Amino acid sequence: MSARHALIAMVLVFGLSAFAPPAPARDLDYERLSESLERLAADPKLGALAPVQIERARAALKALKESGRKDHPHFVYVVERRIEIARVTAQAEAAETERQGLQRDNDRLQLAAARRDAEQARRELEQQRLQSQIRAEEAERLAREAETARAEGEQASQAAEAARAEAAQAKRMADLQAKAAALAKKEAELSGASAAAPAKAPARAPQRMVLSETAFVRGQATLADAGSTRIGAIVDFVNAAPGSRVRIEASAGGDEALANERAATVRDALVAAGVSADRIVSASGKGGKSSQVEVRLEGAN
Amino acid sequence: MTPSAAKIHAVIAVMAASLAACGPTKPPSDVLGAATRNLAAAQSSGAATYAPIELRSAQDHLAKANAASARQDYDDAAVLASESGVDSELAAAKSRLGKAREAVDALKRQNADLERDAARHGEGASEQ
Repeated sequence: MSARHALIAMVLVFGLSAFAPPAPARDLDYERLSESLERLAADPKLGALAPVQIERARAALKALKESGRKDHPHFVYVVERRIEIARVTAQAEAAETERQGLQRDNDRLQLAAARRDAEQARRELEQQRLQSQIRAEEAERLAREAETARAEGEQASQAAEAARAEAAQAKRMADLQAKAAALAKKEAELSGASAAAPAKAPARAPQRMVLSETAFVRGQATLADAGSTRIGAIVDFVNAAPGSRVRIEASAGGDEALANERAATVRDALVAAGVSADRIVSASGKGGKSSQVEVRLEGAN
Repeated sequence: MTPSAAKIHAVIAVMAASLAACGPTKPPSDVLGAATRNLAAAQSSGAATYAPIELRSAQDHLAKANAASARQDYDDAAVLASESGVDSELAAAKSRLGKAREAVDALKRQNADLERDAARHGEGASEQ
């Protein structure tokens, strides 16, 4: 019986409680969520970033407090979601703010990089300009050198031309000497045939060698290198006829003083090379347009 | 529609209303509509990538809300639709946060690269 009474009492209690207003007893869910929401609202970093969402969470919390038992889990769910929405929204706001700051840094860095690139491009351009200037100056220098070399080459070819002319003259002279020798030999043979006497002298004709203008330094009485070589040949020529007298006659394009000096130079050169000074009967200059020194042998034995 | 048919329909409506006397008497179409719009907004914000769990929850709640509405259980439909609505709102907020954080990370990396370049260039320039 007592058990039956107890069952009826329990049914009555549950039945009444279903229609009763929300229990004044502590609602742990409400306390937990309220605390969570207030912590978020008081958060120094996030608290002020999502005021609208925090207000909506507060409204949902209020609805939870006023909700009936039946709807309680639903309202707990909604409040949990609303608090989470407020937190995530505040975090998103903070991230947005951070992104904006980073974007400003990024703009600044990009600008600096662009300036740096421009500066580098400017430097490279300047360097290239300098290099091309250096190249231009180098080319100019080379052109000047080439010009100088060309002028020197012209001089050298002039000297070579003069040397060639001298050589040709020497050859002509040698030919003439050979011809003279041949004639003398013929004459000797003819006279030998008539008198049966050996020829006393192969030739009476004065023999000569000529030093051209190029043998001397231009405008001076000093011998040039070519002249010194030529003097050797003249010494051989003079020594080949030991008994002959030597006559030196110079001309220097009308400059008689220079002609005299050149004649003296040649005489001194011959003496220095071992030709007896006594054999040199004369060494003199003369006027006249030609410019040469003639060495003549006379009275060769 | 004949007057008699209209009468029949009116009677049916009255009967349905009286049958559901303990719940709301009209379908929560506004709540369902709002939940549907919220879900669409969450999807277009990229919730499938940034908040897949919340998005799934919003879809499930909305599907159940529609099912409840179909069986004229409007109380449940309203509750489930509002739960779907907050799911969608949370999903959209998480998408926004995820995108903002991605942008922050990308900018941090980019800025670090730029600063490294600047430092290297500075050293290079001072060596010259």
